[in-house]
Amino acid sequence: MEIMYILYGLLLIVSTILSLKIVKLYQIFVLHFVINFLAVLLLQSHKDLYGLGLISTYITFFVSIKFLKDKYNVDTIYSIEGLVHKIPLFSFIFRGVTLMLGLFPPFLHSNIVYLNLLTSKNNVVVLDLILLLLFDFIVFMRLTNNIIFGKPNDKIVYIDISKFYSFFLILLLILNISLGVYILLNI
Amino acid sequence: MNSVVFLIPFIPLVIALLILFIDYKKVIPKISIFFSLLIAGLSIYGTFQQFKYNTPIISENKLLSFDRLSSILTLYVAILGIIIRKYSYKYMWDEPGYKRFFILLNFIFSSIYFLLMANHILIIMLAWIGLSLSLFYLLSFRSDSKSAVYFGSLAFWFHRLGDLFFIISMVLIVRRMDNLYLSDLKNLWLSSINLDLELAAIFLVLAAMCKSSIIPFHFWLPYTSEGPTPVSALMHAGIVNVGGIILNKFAYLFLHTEYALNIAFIFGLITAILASMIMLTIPDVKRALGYSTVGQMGYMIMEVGVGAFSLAIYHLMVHGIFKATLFLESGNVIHQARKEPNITKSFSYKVFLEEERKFNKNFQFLIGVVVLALVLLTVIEFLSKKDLSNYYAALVFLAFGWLTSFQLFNSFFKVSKEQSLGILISLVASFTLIVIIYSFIGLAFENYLYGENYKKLFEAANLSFGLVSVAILFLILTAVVMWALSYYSNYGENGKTNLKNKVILVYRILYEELYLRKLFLSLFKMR
Repeated sequence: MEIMYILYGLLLIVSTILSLKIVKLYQIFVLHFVINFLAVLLLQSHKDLYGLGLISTYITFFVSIKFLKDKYNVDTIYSIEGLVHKIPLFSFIFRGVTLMLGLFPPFLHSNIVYLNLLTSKNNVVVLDLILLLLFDFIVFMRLTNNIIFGKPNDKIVYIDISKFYSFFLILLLILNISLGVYILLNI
Repeated sequence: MNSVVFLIPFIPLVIALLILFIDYKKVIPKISIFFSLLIAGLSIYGTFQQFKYNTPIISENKLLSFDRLSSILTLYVAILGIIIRKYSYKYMWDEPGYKRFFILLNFIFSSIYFLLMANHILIIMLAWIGLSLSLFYLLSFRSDSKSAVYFGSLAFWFHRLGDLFFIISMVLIVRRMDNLYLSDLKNLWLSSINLDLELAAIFLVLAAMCKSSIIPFHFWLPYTSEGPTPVSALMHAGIVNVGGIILNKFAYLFLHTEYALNIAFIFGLITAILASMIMLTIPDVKRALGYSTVGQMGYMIMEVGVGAFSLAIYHLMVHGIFKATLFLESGNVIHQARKEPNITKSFSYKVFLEEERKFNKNFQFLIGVVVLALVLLTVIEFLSKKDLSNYYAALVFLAFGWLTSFQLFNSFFKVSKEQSLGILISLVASFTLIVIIYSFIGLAFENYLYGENYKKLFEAANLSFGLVSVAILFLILTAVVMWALSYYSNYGENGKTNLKNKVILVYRILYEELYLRKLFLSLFKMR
């Protein structure tokens, strides 16, 4: 098991360097999914809830990048910026997505990672979880600074996400947060 | 009935949720202010309960607690919150994202309240991280400006480094103590001896240094002036104090360490002196104010380093009120200047802009001799006593006197044209009054927050005679050298160009912010 933790740690280091270079949204999706899915090996408790948190995260992330691709033909993180000024509903949802990807509280899988970080007795596991936080933080910063923030382009006609999809995605966000808070109340 | 105080951290979240569904702009700040008055009311009730019963109120699930430290700080933050929301009502009116601003403001206040009232280590950790995140969103509020986003991101990187140190510290504490509740940990720390918690304490000090902008983690603070004025006020008055607050929350941890408080003392002292000196060379007013805050935070951490934990709390509150006033007033002045460019005649105009009066060179020399004599007398007094542990508070006042007078007199005499004996006497008198009030209230805080345990914290600081001597010598040497450089740069004869070049070199090092600006800007090229 120890060898697996060390190998995962090395994979995290490589992925962190890769996360600084890749620009395509689908590549970021796949890399983030693989790394965070494999993190279940490190967890001592609440693995099932962690998986549930990840599912809601990746559904919302996938729908968001599909929306950007369909409406604005956006493939990379540099193709569009300043969405917070033009399409507030989608920006609100995408902000939630980036927070989930960045392992920020009070989301379900984030709280589980921090709980395992505090209670783990294995130093390699703690180190791996810290590297995971670093990797997720870099993904968060790249998505936030390049898509949500920035100066919007006046030549683009911005169309916000439909209320139907937004209701579904916000519901997923709320479920994720509620379960996250539930975990905190029952620690 | 006492449990009603636990509503405090949730109320800002309720405000944020309500604002989300309100479109009518005028209602948004009114709801915010109304509920923040409720928070202030609950804080006053909780403080009254603490005065009456002197036992912390702990929630049923032990996740939150309301003790004496929480009572003072929640009240302080609640009042600050009311002022900032009231100010933002009109100031942010014409800015795009008015609703978003108030939502983010309430999130950051919620994080602060959770941090102040958390009893479970995980909740403290999540509140600590939530605070960094909310600050990043507020600093990058004007997200169409590349520099605002860049410096907001830079600040977030430093805060994340602080988060990393904090996480490591908490992991080490939980591993060693096998307990996740702060109330239990405090009792264990007070009743046990020689627990090996050195590394955990050092990482906690490093985390506090990142959040409170202590050298070498200070770079982010002076460059965050692109955020809205209320955010700058909140940051300088509230957020940067979090380092001192967390060290106070975990104060009894330091009873089981040898070197952690010494590290805080050294870095605090270096920051207090260097940041104050850099502040005097920076031409940009906002950056200069940033360095002024860095200096004061250095001083706060230094107070913790000598074991004066409660004094640090008092200092951060007073500094916070002063700085918030400064930033909010500067915003007002800018607004007024946009409407009316002519400066109104007032006392300030008379002091700073009228014709220069003749300055007596011998008078300045005399002041230098008198101050030097007083300092030497104090040092001899220190050295002649055998037991220095009673004089830690005096060391703090010595540093306070040096720093504040250095800033006060240099700023005043550098900027003003008025150099009369009357002004000098009034400055010295008000300064003396401040020191007396400072010491009186500091003692009151000591008894309120720590009772008899405050002596243990002073003993835990265990500053060695060597360290104290070096600190005093460093202070005296810096004061003498800077005074001499200042004197000879103004009055040196033409032949003394060597000395003038040295003055320019020292000035340049400070102006370039110890060359750290170039280093950090070249390291953090983000895209």
